[in-house]
Amino acid sequence: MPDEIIDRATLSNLLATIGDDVSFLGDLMDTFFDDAPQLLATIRRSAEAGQAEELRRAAHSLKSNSANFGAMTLSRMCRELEELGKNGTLAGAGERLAQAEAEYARVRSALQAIRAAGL
Amino acid sequence: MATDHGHILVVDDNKINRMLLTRALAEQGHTTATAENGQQALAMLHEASFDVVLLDILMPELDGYETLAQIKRDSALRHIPVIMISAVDEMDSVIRCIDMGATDYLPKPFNAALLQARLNASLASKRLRDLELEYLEQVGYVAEAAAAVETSAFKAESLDKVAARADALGRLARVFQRMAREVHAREQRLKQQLQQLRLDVEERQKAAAETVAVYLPMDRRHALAEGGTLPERTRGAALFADIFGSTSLTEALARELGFQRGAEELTRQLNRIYGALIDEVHHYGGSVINFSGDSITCWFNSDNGLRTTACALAMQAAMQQFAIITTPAGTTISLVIKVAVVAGPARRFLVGDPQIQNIEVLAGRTLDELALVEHQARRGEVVVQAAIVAEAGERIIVADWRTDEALGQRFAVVTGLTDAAAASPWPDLAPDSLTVTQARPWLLPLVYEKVRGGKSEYLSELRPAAALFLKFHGIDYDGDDNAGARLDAFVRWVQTVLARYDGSLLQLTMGDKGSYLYAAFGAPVSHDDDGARAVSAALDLQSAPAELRFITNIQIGVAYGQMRAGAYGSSAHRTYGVLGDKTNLAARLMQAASGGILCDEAIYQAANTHLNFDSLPPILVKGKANPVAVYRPTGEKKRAGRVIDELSPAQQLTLKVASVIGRIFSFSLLRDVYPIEADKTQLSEHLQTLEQLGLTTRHSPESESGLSYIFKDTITQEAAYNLMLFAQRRQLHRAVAEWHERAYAADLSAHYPLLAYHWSKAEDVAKAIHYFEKAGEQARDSGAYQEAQRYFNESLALDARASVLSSEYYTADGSAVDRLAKNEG
Repeated sequence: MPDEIIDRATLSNLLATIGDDVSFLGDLMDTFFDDAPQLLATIRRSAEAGQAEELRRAAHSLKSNSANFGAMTLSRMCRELEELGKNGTLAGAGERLAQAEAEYARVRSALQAIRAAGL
Repeated sequence: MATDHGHILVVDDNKINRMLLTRALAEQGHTTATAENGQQALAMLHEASFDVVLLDILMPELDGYETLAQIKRDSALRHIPVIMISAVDEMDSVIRCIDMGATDYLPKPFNAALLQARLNASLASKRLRDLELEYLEQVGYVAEAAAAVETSAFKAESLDKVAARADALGRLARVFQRMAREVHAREQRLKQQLQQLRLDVEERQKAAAETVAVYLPMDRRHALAEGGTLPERTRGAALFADIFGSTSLTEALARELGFQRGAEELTRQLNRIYGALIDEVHHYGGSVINFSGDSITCWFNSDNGLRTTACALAMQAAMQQFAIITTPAGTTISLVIKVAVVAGPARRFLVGDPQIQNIEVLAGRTLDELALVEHQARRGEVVVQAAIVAEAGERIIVADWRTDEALGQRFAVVTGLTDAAAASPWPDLAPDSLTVTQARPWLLPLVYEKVRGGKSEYLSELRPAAALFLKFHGIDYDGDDNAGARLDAFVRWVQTVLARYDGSLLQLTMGDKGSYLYAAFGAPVSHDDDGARAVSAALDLQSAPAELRFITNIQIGVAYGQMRAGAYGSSAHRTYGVLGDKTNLAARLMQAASGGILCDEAIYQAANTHLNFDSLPPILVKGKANPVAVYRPTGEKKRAGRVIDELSPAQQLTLKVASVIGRIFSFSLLRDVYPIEADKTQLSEHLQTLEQLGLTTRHSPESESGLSYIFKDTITQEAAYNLMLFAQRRQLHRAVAEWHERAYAADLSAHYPLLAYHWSKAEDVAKAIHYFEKAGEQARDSGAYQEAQRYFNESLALDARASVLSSEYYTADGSAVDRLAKNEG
């Protein structure tokens, strides 16, 4: 199932972009694993506080980052959140956020598995 | 496409994006810097130069739009390509950015190939833009250079950068540089040449001054250099040295090398000897006062005779090297000198017309004694006056005593000194201590011209010339305080008479048996009738005018033959001489003339068509084995004036009119200007008569105006001309001038000098000035500067006269002054 979570072609493209440097990909993943929970936290906080612009920016970043690693489902979810922030209508944000959090957990496991498998 | 590597600024608030792009760009060979927001990016853009900016849109602080807008507003940044980073779902934002001036966009997630393609395109456009900017900047440099070239402020180095380009602009810059360097080099060259020219002129002026100065006695040079004169009465010692053997050498060289080259070689040999002798004279503080034949007379001021005796001995020693001279064909000839020395008071005069030539004179009793001592001296000897030995005591070694029984005088033959008398060399004169102008009067004008033109140096020529020796008495050089003035008056008169016949006074010698002077005809100025000129001059010189009646016992000898003419002496002192076998003969004939004139056979042959001679019995002269034929001139046979006197008035007038036209005159011109209409029909007959009388002859080839004639000699022409009153001459010159103006009205340019001459003789100053100036300009334009200068000088001289008669001058040709006056009125 991990293949559904991570688009391997996109991940290969990322690896090619950085000169097939697996170690650097590891660094990127670590950065992603550091940033993503913070961004999700920011989205939650701003959704509760009704700060649409902040939510939008955090969702935008997470969308971009997850797309880089081929986590297309997570990226789509973040895009929907970003749209909400952009439109200023935060209704339904909580539900989408919960899905995104769950999806991130899967992405994280999948990437770690890929990494453990030596790609 | 060739990949350019650039310096890229990555602007993104997303850390992973920054890491990713930095790494991806490094993979492609670029260098990077990163900024987390727009604010930071702008600051970095101002600090460093970037080739491309990768700009994210959504950022805190300053977002991508505003950052892009600020970059495009900034003239220093706007040319930097900006590539927007965007997600595929942000196309509307991308379009907005492209509208704002972004170059391109890069979609996220990043793709290496796309990144490379977009970057390369941007870099290439940036490079092009940079090149364009650089090009425009360098075009600006070239434009500045063009302006600088015009103001001569151009520095070739200022275009070095542009010239390094391989394109047309680079070529233009290189052309500019080459041009500027050539112009600069040419300028430098010209400056150098000018400097060299200046140095050359100075050098030549100095050299000319030195070359001219050597014609002056050394004591005179020093006196002039110090701005002083030499005293007329003085005490010192005189030395006479005579060279023997030159006749044998002359003959041997002429036989072996021919006359011309023989004469040159002889002069060279003699000048070597003069060089050695004169060096000794100068070394002992003496001065060569004059040359006479192959001898020199020298003066050692303030010497009691001892120093001069030492000099005489040194001269004999110096002659050792010439004891045996071997000619080119192997003939050996011995050249020796005899030297005489006396001491006592002397008179030192400078006589003659400075316009012709200053003549140095050493005279008085001491010089008479010098002649006596010299008679006692034999070849190779130094003979000294007894009084010198008496005063010097034991210091002079006397080998022998000679006694002149008739005079009761004793003379010492000296072979040495017990101790060397101190030499007293002249101090060196600074090269510019004497100017050419100061020294010029010591040279005959024509000799001066040659010397200045550098043509006299050792130049010797063989040419036919007449030698005239004139002996005179009547001046008491010791007792008469006026002796200098009297001698000067006489010499000036002689120079004037000689000038009439183009003869030159070359020497004036004071001796015990009277003083004599030597003049030559044929050198430096020559004519085909020099023999006759010499005799005519002799006839004029026979009796001095009333104011010179103190001059008595004039007797003259004249002879004619090949002479060597040129500069004699050495680089330390020289003279212009005309010498030959006939010089000696003329001197002998003078001695034998006893109150009249004696001429040799050659003179008789050369002059008997013009002059009458009595043939006298042959006489024996010293130096000639056989008696020589001698002739005494009795007067001018066909003196032109006398023949003219016998012509009819109309014939006379024909000759006079012709004399105005010139030595050669055309019939048509003569007829046109002949003043009496009624007589014109008989002109042909008159000309026939003149031809029969031998005054004129047909001239061929005929000139363009038809038949023309020539005066057989210039004397006839001058005589006819001189018979006219001034008014008549003026009238005829005017007629001749007007005739030329009419005849050549279309183009007068070939006749400017002639017109100037006739108008000046017609005393029409304005016309004469006009034509002298035209002639001068013409000569100047054709490079004949001396000629041009002459014409301008003539014009100036007339101008000076004209200023006295200014009203006449200015109205004569309706010149500007006249018109100006009218306008002002």
